[in-house]
Amino acid sequence: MLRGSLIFTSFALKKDIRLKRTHLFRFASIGIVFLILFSSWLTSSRITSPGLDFFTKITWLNFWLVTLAGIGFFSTAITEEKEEHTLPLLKLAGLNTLALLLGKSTVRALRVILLLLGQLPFLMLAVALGGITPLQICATIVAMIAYVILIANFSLLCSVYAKRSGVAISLVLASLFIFFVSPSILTKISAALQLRGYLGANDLMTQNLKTYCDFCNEISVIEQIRLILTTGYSKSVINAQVGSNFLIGAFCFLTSWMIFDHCTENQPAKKKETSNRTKNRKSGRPDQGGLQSPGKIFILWQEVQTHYS
Amino acid sequence: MKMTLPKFGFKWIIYFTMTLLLFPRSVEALEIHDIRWGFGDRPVAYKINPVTILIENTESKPFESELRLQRKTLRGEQIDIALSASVYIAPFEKKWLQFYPYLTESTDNWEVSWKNENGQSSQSFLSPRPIVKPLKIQLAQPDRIGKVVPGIKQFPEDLFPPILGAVDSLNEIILDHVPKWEKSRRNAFLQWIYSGGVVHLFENSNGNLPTFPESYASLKLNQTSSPVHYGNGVIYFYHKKLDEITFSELKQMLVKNIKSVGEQQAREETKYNLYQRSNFSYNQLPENFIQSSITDDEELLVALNELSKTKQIWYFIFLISFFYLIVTGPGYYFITKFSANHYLFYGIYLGSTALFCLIFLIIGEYSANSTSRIHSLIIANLLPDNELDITEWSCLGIASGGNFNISHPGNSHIYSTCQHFSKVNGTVINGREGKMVVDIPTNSSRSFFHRGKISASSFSVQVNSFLSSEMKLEVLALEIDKYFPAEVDQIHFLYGSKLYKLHQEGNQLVFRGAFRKLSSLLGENTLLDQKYFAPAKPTSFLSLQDQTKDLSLNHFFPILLQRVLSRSSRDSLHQYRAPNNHGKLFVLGEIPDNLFLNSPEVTKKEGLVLYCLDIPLTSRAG
Repeated sequence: MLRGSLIFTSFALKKDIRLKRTHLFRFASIGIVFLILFSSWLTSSRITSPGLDFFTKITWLNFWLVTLAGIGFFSTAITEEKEEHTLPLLKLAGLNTLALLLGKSTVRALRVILLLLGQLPFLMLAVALGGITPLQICATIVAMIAYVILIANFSLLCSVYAKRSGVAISLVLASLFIFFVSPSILTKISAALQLRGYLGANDLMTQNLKTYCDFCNEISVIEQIRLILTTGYSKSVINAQVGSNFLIGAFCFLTSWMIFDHCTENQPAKKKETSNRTKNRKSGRPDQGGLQSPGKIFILWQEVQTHYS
Repeated sequence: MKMTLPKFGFKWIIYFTMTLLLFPRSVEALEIHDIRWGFGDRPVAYKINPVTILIENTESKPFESELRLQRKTLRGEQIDIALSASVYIAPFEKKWLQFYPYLTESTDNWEVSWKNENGQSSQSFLSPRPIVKPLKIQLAQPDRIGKVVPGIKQFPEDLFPPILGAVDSLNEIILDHVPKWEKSRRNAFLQWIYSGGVVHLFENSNGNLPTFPESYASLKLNQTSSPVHYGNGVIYFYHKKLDEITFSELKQMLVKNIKSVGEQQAREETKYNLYQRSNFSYNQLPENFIQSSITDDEELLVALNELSKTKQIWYFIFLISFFYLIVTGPGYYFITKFSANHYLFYGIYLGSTALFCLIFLIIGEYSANSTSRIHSLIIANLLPDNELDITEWSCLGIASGGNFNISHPGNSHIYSTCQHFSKVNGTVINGREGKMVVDIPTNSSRSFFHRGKISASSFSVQVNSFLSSEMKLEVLALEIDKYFPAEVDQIHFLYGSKLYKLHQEGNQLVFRGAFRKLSSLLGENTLLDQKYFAPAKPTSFLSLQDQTKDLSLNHFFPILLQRVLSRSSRDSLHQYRAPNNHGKLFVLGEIPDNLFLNSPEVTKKEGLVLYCLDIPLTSRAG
């Protein structure tokens, strides 16, 4: 069963390297890192630890890119199939749920991880610029990979649950906001309430808020990166954030697997169909009943069938 | 339209939350009533300035905490290092507190923060734009409103800094009374005059010149003739009351004094003066003469930073980097054209990534500092009572990162990292037992500027023989004592507008006939010499050239001399001339251990110190 499931993943990976845009995107992203390295070298006489400065810039850039990928790229893995009504055809081709999830979501996560690994040699140059150690670089990359696993699988869960991409994106966006921003807001509110005497330092509510904020900070990649970038970091690359992000990611993946059939056996969103029909009527094209490009689906089905058999 | 209860409640929750977030400081235990930037209403650029704040404890219990002054961007990001001071304020009391930041020409946003029971509180201030011209103030008694002279700022004498380094931004003081000061402030005032300060002394309200007590005996103010020289400083007497003169009269009197010195010098200008304005031509200047302004502290720190850095093979690094870039783009693409096996592609991808990681890691390790080291440049002005006034620029290169405690022997220290753009993790405590606790990452460096005063067995000299003619030194022999530095590189004597080279012979320093014009020496600026430094294109930032093998710290002697005399090559075109009855001894040598920072982590110490001693030339022995 597992071998059969991995075939679709293998097919997706093979298809990925045949696309020119994949190579262009990789070249561009590593080229940007190279340009930032060059600019850091130029200004290195004014900055006492240019390596740390360069590495910090790249790390936060990567964080934002991964977060944006989580919102827009990972969260549409299944919903785009729902919207295009191709899930029944994929199932018809003999693909089981695990194969679908691995092929549609895990491959996307792998692409991002490979892109991060491609930057690693340039990041190692930060050691030569000064201000950072190889351990800090490795710890940051591991923390970022764990974050990719978390966000990719959480987005997959949202994508499986939601009927449309817009809903999935909203769910991911709201969750990220709660996860990253709520601890600081709640801490400020708690401090303000304590300052005015509405809350005591040992009240149950204060303690619960503190526990919640501590938990969020413990598993937050932002706090972990901040910790890694402090001078003298000498802890292991495997830590609470890495472990928890990986476990939560795995849990989200398993949950997606469990609820996949339940969430995809319903009829697709009718509103979308209605709007498509309206659009097609306006454009004068014949109504395709939601299946917008049967030719594409047929080719996909044929390719999958060939590789699967 | 009817508002439903849930919507109404939700609105109130948002309103309440926003109110809490926007106005969290409605109840504060500490209030800041006043903030004074420098001695006037505007501080002086590129100097350490006192920033004085008036704080009130509004609660019934004492306030004891640490206050921090921190420069921030308007977006709230931290710049430079935080200045810290511990404070105790009794209930319902007010207290003045002073910080000593290094300021540049820009207007900055500053934040004063402190810890209280419920967390952190802060208040922001916008500093006025600093001035670049010399500062003149009138010292006023706090309990008496004196005559306010328009155009001249009054500064309360009880806020006069008790540290010599904090008075650097001050050039002239107008006084009509004897300030009531404790010993530390009195010493700072006297040492400020000795270092080159100018005092204008007017009659008090009784019509008498102020009588200074025994504690000011070193000024020798019992003389009747004006001016009185004290070290490099000077005191002018005016038999007038400040109340009786207008601002224009005062201005004329002050200018007349300065001018009279200038005219006297001008009259003594002789045919030896090559650079008189009338027949001045740039063609007459030496080839290496580059007109430059005084090297600022940041430039000097950048130069030291370049010296402290490990030399890296950048051409090779960028060659390998470019090769990797080609591999990641066209390289991987062509692999897919030659082989359809995607396992092979991913294998090559991961393998080449690991290989390049290893190469870059080896380069990184090769470039890393193996030992922690320091490069320093120090100007040590010899003060009376065996004290040294220290001005230091240092760069600390660290092999293994961490929090470093930078402190020096002696007391009264002021530290600054002189960073105008970057954040520095750390804290500076200025004043007595001043220190800088700073975070220095692995294989990086931290440069800092330090002003301090230490008690040390400083040397003294006696004039054995001195003869001059037509503003030229003919004979000079100075007797030195046992405290004269052992590791000496150059000895010079400044007299008039020339620098005379002295030789050490036993316990004597003797002039053998070699001299050069001060103006030509001041024109030498190593930082502008393209043999050593050049702007890194396309930026204008300074970077070391490849020919650095012959660059030693000795090349910085002209820059140190510029700083001592506060003159650049631009100024030297208008001929510098020291007073005829004074000479200056400059001794350039290696920094002794007692002047370096206290840090066991730093094993390699390199540096130059320029000792400066003012020598009165009263005897004209043959």
